[in-house]
Amino acid sequence: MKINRIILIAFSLLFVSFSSYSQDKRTLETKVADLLARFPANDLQMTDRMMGDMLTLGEQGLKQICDNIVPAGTGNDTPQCFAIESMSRFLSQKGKETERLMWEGLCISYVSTKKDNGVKDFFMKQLQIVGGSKSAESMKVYLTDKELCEPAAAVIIKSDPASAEIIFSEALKNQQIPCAAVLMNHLGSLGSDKAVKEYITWASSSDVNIKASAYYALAMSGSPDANAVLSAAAKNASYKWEPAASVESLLKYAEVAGKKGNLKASDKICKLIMTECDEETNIQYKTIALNIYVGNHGIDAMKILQTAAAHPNKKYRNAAMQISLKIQGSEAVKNWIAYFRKLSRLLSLN
Amino acid sequence: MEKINNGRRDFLRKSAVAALALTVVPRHVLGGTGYAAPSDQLTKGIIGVGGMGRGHIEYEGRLLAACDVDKNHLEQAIAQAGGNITGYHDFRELLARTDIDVVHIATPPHWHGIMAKMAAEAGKDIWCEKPMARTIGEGIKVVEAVQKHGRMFRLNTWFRFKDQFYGLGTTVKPLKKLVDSGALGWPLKVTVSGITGYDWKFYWSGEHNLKPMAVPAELDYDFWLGPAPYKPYNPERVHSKFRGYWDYDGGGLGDMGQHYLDPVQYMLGKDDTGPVSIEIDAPQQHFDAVGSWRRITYTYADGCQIILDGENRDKDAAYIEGPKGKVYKGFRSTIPDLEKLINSLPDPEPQIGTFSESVKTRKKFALNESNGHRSCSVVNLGIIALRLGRNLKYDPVKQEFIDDEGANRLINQPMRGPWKI
Repeated sequence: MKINRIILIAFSLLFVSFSSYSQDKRTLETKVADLLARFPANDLQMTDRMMGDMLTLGEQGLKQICDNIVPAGTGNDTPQCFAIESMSRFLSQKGKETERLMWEGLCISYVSTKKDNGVKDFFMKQLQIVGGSKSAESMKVYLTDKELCEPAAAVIIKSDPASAEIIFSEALKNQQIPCAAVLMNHLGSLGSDKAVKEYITWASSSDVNIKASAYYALAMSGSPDANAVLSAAAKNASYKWEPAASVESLLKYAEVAGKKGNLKASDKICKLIMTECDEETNIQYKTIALNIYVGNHGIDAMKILQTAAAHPNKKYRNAAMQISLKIQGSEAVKNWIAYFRKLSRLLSLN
Repeated sequence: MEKINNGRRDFLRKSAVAALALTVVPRHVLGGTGYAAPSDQLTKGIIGVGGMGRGHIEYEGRLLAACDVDKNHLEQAIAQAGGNITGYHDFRELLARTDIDVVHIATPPHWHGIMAKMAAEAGKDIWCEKPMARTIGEGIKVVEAVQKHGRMFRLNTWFRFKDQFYGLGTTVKPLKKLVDSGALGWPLKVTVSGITGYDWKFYWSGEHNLKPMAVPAELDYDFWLGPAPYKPYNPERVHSKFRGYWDYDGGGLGDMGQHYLDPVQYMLGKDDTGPVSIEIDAPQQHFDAVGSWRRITYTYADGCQIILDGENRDKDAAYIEGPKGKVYKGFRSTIPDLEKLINSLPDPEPQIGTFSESVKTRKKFALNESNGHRSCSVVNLGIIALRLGRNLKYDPVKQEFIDDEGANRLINQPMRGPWKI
């Protein structure tokens, strides 16, 4: 029994020794091919193991995989795409920072060196997942490229929002920039006021899509300079919905300005919209204006809320009641009780 | 603190409704003899009239317009509607019509969020196909827009308020009563699988390595892609095949997930929250094409679980399982005298199950933007975990992943210009 065990252990050691010897002998090409043949992993544990194996190929091995990404329709690079995408997702988790930096650098180099825009785009998509400040800086040269401007902008905003604000603001000075709308959408989402002058210039574009983005960015900036442009645009639209969303942007501006402490401008816009928007087709704007006004003034807006509660438009009345729930504290409840008592008395007198 | 707020809110709601009904509702709004209430003439327009959208022609409301970026789809829809409607290529022209009350959105999901938000801004009430939004971030924006503009929203799945659902052999109402009564104990585990009567439709898997092909003349492919990343045209991507690609949907989970998960969220009382952990058992997913998975386990803060069993592995699975009892497919249960027990239990809060009623009364539809966003988030959480190939921790209050920057980058995904949400 003991002898059997010894023989078994000896054979096992021999087997392990042979396997390691043969693995050592494999060329890098063979190792890469073997790894690619194993995709896709069947479960999370196997994914982790395969990602670990892929990393042990080192930079040369990883480059062999990346080198074989080809333009769409010119060959089957599915295993390579699978491996690269999986690596990006694997390295996007916490604790993989060192490997992520190495991988980011590699992907940036492939964006730079590959000729085909589809292939460049593929590596830019990796940077959207794993990119950091280095990616943001490296991608800004593509903002003037008609085909790559948008994916490059996506990398920059995902990788480093703080740098994105500076890079996009600077890029908007170029009137030939091919994806101005996207850049202004991103700047708007950041609430940036760094390129207000440029937004105003772009807002005069005849392209409704660019105009819409410029209005949005102006609104989100909360800059006093945005007020006149947006007010004029909304008036020009007769305070009705249109694809450039000028009224929506004016109201968004009122909200941002109010939050920034410019209550005078905010209130003025709210009152204007509450006066101008009284039809079934633009009552939604009156609702937003009321909402912003109540947000600005809280309990001090009770009177205007109670007027709204008696408005002939049911949608507006209903919205007014919902908006009143925003007011914190018991004072609002007391006000409503007094209001309803008064109404009940009036009703009984009738 | 929460109870005090609720009490105050209830008070305000009830007082307001009662007082308004008694005092300030004008005659022209109520309608009746000599008055035509605006809501008596509900009109609608449909955006996206492929197979799903043409089904909306028969839904309530008088159809005035349809929109599609595929000329053939548009022509078919106009013919099906009897010819007397206006067709549009650009949905913004449909939104600009002032005579349309309700906009139906039946496009692929990558458009749902943008269109729903813009429809709300244009003052329309919205009837949107499931899944509500392709990302969690888009869902959040839809909720904000609908509420800020005082709009009514209906998501087009219905098992939380009507119809027997799948293998259960009952509507959700008696199940909700049973769950609320505590007769099954707590926490509960709900298993959604073929064994309990569901089908994950794994045939919505995409093809790999698609070859670029010429775009057919009838299709405006660039507009069809809209906010989605540009990828060369291949017929596999569009129309009846789009569900197989992550850029537009999420396979069987995207297609059927909200049907199955929404009634569970309702039953478990999770309409304003979501799971705190998502665990997957799945093969590595392709970066473009959706693949199959074996199991997704969602766990809530209180220990409740929803298990999506894609392979029907657990042959004896109960649909709902608690410490005190189980309910199986066909509404069989380990609880004795189940029918008698259920009959003795109070009904859950009534729900509005007709959208025209919701539009007329301005009371939220049963499945609206808020609870719809939460059940859609469950679907999207599963999709993110599958795409990333890892288990995730989620904060349902902040609506972001915990300690996972990579996952958080998928909450809001970049949009192609000029589209934004």
